[in-house]
Amino acid sequence: MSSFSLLLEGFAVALRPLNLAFALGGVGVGTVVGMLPGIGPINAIAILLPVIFAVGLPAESALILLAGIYYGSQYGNSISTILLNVPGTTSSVVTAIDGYPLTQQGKAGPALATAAIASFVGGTLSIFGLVLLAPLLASWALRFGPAEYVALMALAFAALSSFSGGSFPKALVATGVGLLLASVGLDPNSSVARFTFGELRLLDGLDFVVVTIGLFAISEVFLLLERTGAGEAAATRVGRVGLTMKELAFSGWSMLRGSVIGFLMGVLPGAGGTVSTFVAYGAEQRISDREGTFGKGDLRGVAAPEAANNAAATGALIPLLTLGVPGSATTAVLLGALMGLNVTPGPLLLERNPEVFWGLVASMYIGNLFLLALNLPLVRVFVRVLSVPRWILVPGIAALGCVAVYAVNGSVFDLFLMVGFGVAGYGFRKVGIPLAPVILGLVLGPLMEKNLRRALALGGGDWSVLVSSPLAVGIWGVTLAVLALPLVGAMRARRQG
Amino acid sequence: MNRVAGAGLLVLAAVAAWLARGYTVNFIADPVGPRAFPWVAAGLIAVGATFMLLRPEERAGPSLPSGRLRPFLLALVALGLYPVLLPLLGFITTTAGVMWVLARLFGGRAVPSAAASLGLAAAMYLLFVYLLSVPLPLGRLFLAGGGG
Repeated sequence: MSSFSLLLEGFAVALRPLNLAFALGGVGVGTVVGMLPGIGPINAIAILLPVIFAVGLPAESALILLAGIYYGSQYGNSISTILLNVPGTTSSVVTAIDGYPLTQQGKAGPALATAAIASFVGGTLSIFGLVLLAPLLASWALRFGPAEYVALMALAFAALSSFSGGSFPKALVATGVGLLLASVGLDPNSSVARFTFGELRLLDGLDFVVVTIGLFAISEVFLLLERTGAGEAAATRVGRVGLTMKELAFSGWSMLRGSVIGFLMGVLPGAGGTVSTFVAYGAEQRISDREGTFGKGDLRGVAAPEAANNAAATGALIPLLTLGVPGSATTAVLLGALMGLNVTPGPLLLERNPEVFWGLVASMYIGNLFLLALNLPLVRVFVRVLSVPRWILVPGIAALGCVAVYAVNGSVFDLFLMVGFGVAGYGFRKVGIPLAPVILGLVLGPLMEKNLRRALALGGGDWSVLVSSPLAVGIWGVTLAVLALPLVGAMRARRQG
Repeated sequence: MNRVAGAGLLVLAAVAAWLARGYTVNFIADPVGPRAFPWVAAGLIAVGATFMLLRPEERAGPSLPSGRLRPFLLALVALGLYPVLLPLLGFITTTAGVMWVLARLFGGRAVPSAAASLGLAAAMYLLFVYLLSVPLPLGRLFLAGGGG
C-alpha cells in the first residue's frame, strides 16, 4: 500500500512538464544513439553529464533524462540490427538471427513492430518487478556493513568477468586497471598522493567522464577508421510498421517469457543484457520452434530476445539503486552520474531521496509509452538517421566528446588525458581486453577501498573481519562459485574437444 | 600480440606496485593504509597478464591495422594537437579543423567536409555557450590580435 502511494507521488514528479520533456528527450536521444554505430548509451550519458552539471539540473530530472537514454537505446539498437544486420552492441546480436532474415523477406515492418512491442512489454513488466523487489532488497541491504559491501563489490567484479563471455584473464586485467585508475590522486583517508607523478592536476583523481569518453568514444573513432569504406548504410525500405492481431497473438507468449527471463538475469550483477538475450532465445527455440522456422525469420525469435534485453536493462537498475553496486559498464556510468549529482545509491536512497527513486520509476512507465509511440509510427524518420554519412557522424562524435571533456573542468589537460585513454582503449580492444570492467573498477574502486579500510579499521587490522558475518561469508561463497564457473566450463570444453 | 600485451601489462603492474610501496602512513586508525589497494589492483593485473603471457589464445590473433597505420596516426596527431591549439585558436576554428581532418579520413570530399565541420563547430559553440552556459575558449590569438 505504501509503495502504491509512493508511486503516485512519483507520478506527480514524473508528470511535471520539465520531467515529461526530459523523459521524451531522453528516450528520443536514446533511440538515436542506440541505432548509430559508435555512440551508444555509455558515450551519450558521459557526453551529457558535464552539461547536466553545468546547467544544475535537479537530481530526479537528470536521472529521468539519463535513464531514458539508457533504456531508450535498447529500442534503437534493434532498429539497426533488424534493418542492416549491424548490431550496435552485443545485446542485440541474437535479434539479428531472425530479425535480418525478416528484412530480407520484405517483412522489416512487422519485425520492427515486434521488436518495439516486445521492448515495451519487457520494459513495462520489469518495472513492476522493480517496484516489488527494490524496497525488499533495500530493507535487507540495510543490514550490510563495510565487510558485506566489500564482498558484494567483489561479487560484481567476479560476475562481470565471468559472464562477459570473453577471456577471463583479460577481464581480470581490465578490473585491475580500473581499480588502479581509481586510486590515482589524493587518498581521501591519508592525503597521500598516489600515482600523480608530481602533477598537481592529477591530485583530484581521474574524472570518470574523461576516462569514459577516451576509452569508449575516442577509441571507437580509431576503430572505425579501419573500416572506412565498409558499411555505409543504404536506405532500406521499411514497409508497413505494425502487427495484425494474429501476429501479436503469435509472438505474445514469447514476449512474456522473454521478459521474465530478462528481468531475472538483469537483477544478477554482470549477467545483464547480452546473456539474457541468448538464454531467452535458446529457451524460446526449445519451446516454440516446432516447424524449424527459427533462424529463418521467425517473429518469435525477435520477440523473445528483445523483451529479455529491455527487461534486463530495467532489472539491472535494481542492484544499482538499492545496493549502489552496478553490474555493467552502462549502469556504472549511471552510478558515476548519480554520485556527481550528490545522490548516493544504496539502501538509504528510498528513504532519503524518495522523489528520485519513485519519480524515476514513474517516468519509466511514461518513457516506455513514449518509446512505443515513437517506434511504431515514427520508425521511418529514425531510419533516415541511419543514412547520415560516416564522414559527418564520426567527426561529430569526436567533437562532442572533446567539448564534454573540456566542459568537466575547463581544462586542456583533461583533453590530453582523453586522447591518451583513447589510444589505450583502442589497444585494449585490439588485444581483446574488455572495457566494461575498467569502468566498473574506476567507479566502484573508491567505494570499495573506503569500505575495505573501514572494515579493517573496525577489525583492528585483522583481515578475517571480512568473513566474520554469515552474510559476508555467503556473498564470498557466491563470488567464488561465480569465479569457478568459467573454469568448469573450460575444463568441460577441453574434455569434449 | 597477446604475449606482447601480457608482457607490457606485467611491467605496468610491477611499476605500479613499486611506486605504491612508499604510500604509507602511521595511523593506528587505518591499519590498511593507502598502499594495500593499489597492490591488490596491481596483483589482479599481474595474474591476468601472466596468463596472457603463458597461454595466449590464438583466436585473438594479431589484428593491427598493418597497411592502415597512416590514417590512425593522422587522426592521433589531429586529436593530440586539439588541446594545444584550443586555447590559441579558440573553439570554433580548432574544432572545425580537427573535424575536417577526421571527415577527410572517413572519405568526405574537401569542400563539403569543410562546410559541415565549420557549421557543426559553430552550432556546438552557440549551443554550449549560449544555451547551456558552458564556457568555451574564444581563442587568445584573436582576442590579443583584435582580429576576432
